[in-house]
Amino acid sequence: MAQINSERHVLLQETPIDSGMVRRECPADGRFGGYVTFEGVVRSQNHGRQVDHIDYSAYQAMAYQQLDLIIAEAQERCGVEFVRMVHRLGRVSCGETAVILCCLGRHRREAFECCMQIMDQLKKDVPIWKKEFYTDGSYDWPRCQHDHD
Amino acid sequence: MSSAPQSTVQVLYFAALQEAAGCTAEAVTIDAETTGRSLYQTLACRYDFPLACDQLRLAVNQKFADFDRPLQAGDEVAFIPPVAGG
Repeated sequence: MAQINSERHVLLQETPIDSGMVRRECPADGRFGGYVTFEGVVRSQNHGRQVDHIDYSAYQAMAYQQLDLIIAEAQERCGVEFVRMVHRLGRVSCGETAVILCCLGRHRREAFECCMQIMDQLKKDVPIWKKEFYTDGSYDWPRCQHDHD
Repeated sequence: MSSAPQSTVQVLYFAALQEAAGCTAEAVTIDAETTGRSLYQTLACRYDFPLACDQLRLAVNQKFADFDRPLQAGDEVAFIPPVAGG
C-alpha cells in the first residue's frame, strides 16, 4: 500500500461531547468521499441490570499513546488519512455519548473498516475503565465483552 | 560489603486497584530482583487487591511490559485492570 499522509486527533475530555461539533471539525475540502462516524452511547441496561450512569477514568498519558499507536496502525492498514476521536471521562449518564470516532477515507469501505478496527482495539488495549453505577445503588467494574460489544 | 542501595519505583493505581489501595500513586522500594509480578504480589497482600495477577497487564513507563522483567529505579509502574473503553 502506498504511504499515506495520515492525520489523527484524539481527545479525552470531562465535558459532554458535542457530536455535531466533532463532525464539523473534520475537513470538508473534497479529499474524502466516505465519512464514517461511530458513536458509543451509555445504555440503560447492561447484562440485565438497570444502569444509572457510568464513571469513566483513564491512565491518560498511556491512553493517549496507545490510541495514537492503534489509530496510526488502522490508518496504515486501511489507507485512511483522517481520524478524529473524542472519549469521555468522568460521569456519563444513560443516553449520553461516551465516545465518538470519525474516519474519513476516499471511499466508504476503508472508512468503515478503519472505524471497526479502532473500536475493537480501543476495547482491548487502551487503559480506560468504567465504573458502572446501577439504579439499586450498587456498582461494578465491568470489562469489555469483546465478542458482542 | 555495604548493603545494596535502595531504590524506588512510582506505582500508579487505577480503577478497582485504586479503590483498594486508597490512593492514586505511591513510591515503593524495590531491590535488584524485583519484577512486576513480585511487586504486585507484595502490594496485593498489603491492600487485599480484588484481582489476581493473571487478570492484569503490566505497564512500565506507559508501555505494556513483561511481568517477569526486573524493574529499574525510577520506573513508572502501573497494573492495568481489564479495560473497558468505548
